[in-house]
Amino acid sequence: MKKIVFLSAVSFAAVASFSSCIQEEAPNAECDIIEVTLPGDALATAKITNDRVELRVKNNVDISRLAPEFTITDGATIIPASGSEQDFKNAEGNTIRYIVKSEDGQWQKEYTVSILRETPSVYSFSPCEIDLSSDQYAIFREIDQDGYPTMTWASGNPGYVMCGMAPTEAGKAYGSEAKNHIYEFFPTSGVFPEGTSIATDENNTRYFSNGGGYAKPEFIRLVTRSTGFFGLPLNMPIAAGNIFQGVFETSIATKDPLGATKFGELYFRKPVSLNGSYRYKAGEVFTDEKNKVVQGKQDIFSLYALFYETDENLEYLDGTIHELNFKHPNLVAIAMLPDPHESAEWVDFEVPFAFEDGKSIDETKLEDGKYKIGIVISSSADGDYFRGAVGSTLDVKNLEVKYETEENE
Amino acid sequence: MKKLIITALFAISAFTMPAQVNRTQALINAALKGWDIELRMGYNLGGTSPLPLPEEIRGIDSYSPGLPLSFEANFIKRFDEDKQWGLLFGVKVETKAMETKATVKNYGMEIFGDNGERVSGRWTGGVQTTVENYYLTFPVLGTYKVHPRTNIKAGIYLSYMMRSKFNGYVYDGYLRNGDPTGEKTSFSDGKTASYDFSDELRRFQWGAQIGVDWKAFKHLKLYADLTWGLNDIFKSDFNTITFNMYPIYLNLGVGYAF
Repeated sequence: MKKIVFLSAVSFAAVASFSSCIQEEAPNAECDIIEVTLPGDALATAKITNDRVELRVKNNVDISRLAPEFTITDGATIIPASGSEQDFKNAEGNTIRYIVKSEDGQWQKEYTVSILRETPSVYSFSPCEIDLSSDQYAIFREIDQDGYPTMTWASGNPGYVMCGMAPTEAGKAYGSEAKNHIYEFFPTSGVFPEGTSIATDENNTRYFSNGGGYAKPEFIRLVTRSTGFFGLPLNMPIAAGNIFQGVFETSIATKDPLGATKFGELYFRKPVSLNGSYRYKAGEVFTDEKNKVVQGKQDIFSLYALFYETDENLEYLDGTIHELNFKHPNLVAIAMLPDPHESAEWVDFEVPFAFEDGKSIDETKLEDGKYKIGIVISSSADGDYFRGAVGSTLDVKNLEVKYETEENE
Repeated sequence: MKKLIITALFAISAFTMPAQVNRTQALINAALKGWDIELRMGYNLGGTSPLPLPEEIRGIDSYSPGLPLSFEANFIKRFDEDKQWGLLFGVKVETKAMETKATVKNYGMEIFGDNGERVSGRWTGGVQTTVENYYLTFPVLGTYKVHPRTNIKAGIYLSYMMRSKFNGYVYDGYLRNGDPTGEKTSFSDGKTASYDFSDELRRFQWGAQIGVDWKAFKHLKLYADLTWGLNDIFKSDFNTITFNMYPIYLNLGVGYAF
């Protein structure tokens, strides 16, 4: 018996000693831009996704001599160097490509760093690209008439990559041709005119091309989809198709889904109405966040635009505005589609911005870039709570914000 | 206690050997021809682990051996007059199990759904692993009597895995989709993603075995065998876990020698 006790002791010691054979930590394999700043107070807003940095600078900032400073993953390196002066003005698309290389030297990521021009008011959802990270989903951008980038639409697509559903579904439907169709199986996609193909530009970006230029989608298509085995244990069984002005923070999407959708782009105009056309078909079976069927409930979409004031305490209004029943001290005006309904035919809408009690737009603040506009569209109105019907499909086109001009003032 | 163990061993013998009407006689006959027979029951203490621990593993936070048991019948042929040298053939039904929680950095993960969905990437954070494999094992060992009461043994074993379980979940950390440059999703506040590699394990496994037994009483032995797997427990085309893992267990127990 003594022997057994002894041997047990020896074996426990052996197991315990595993902890002491922990090897030295490997150098970091990640290569992220975590934060970006500009010297002085030149920076108005910064948006960082997995491979894209979009900056808006204050009026009168000379972008031909701009020295962005980057915080990157520990041990990683960035070229051109952080803090080095760059000429964004004469760079194509006001965009400079930075390469971040990981500490272990095994991985690198190319970021496009763009200085955006003024947020547009008429939206064409073009150019449209396939994302670089996963090479799966569509990213919708806007450019001005001279071809300079003005904004990139945010969506939950980068989060949907995680559930692995789209490549599987595309594989079932298209077999070996699946690669160029994966984007169609994401919650947020678009329908392109006949003759559109996916081309590759000199920077290896895959984009939708038609007639030698950027293809313009006939309409964007938002579809509520199942997240399969991955989302269910997270109480996120569905992903509503959504598109919005702002940024989707993938990294916090599972722990704080409402906070992960940050709405708004800097806006220098006084909005009057939100205009466009939609058609909608609700999915058959409405389910809740536990994927339980809710009998008798029909899904409906949501479409609205927030106009709000930023201050030192508030950079973005986020998805929690829904929880607050669209009330917030910083909210100035809201245009909420009043009677969303199913329709197989296109329905035109013109929704006026309704100002909150006692709120108006301050001219000085407007010029100083204190206001943001956030258009938010979802194929399931409660999709942010993971309640909705798989298959609900919302098509939207001709989206535009009408604003006050000299003539109509 | 002793009586209970012997009863248990006899009960096992009913499984491991064909029913014999005149068992005692048969055992005597076998012994006379130079074969010794023993029945053993034991406990597998150990783990299934990469060796050495790869750099992805930053810490072992918890370990539980579970209750993996073994039942074994050994047939030993003695060669010399003094019965010093012998060759042992065994047949063993056993479980090798463990439960661990580890902290990892940049650990290759792949998760498959029932409909073929596939999520792969690099995980940094906590990983819980449960292993519970059932084997039919055949040890072939040389034995040497170093002392009238003590034998030492060394050799190899071949195992056929009858049932497998290798699963768990990840928690408190983040997943990078695809590779370290992919989209990042955090899991915290009790949110987890589960994985199951049970179908990715090899059916046939083999390894080295060394052991010692000690005759406490005329028929009762205490023993300890260290079994050390020498082929990766995963199929060779399984690359999600970037390192090989080997079962290393100490089999402790009692034997009844006829």
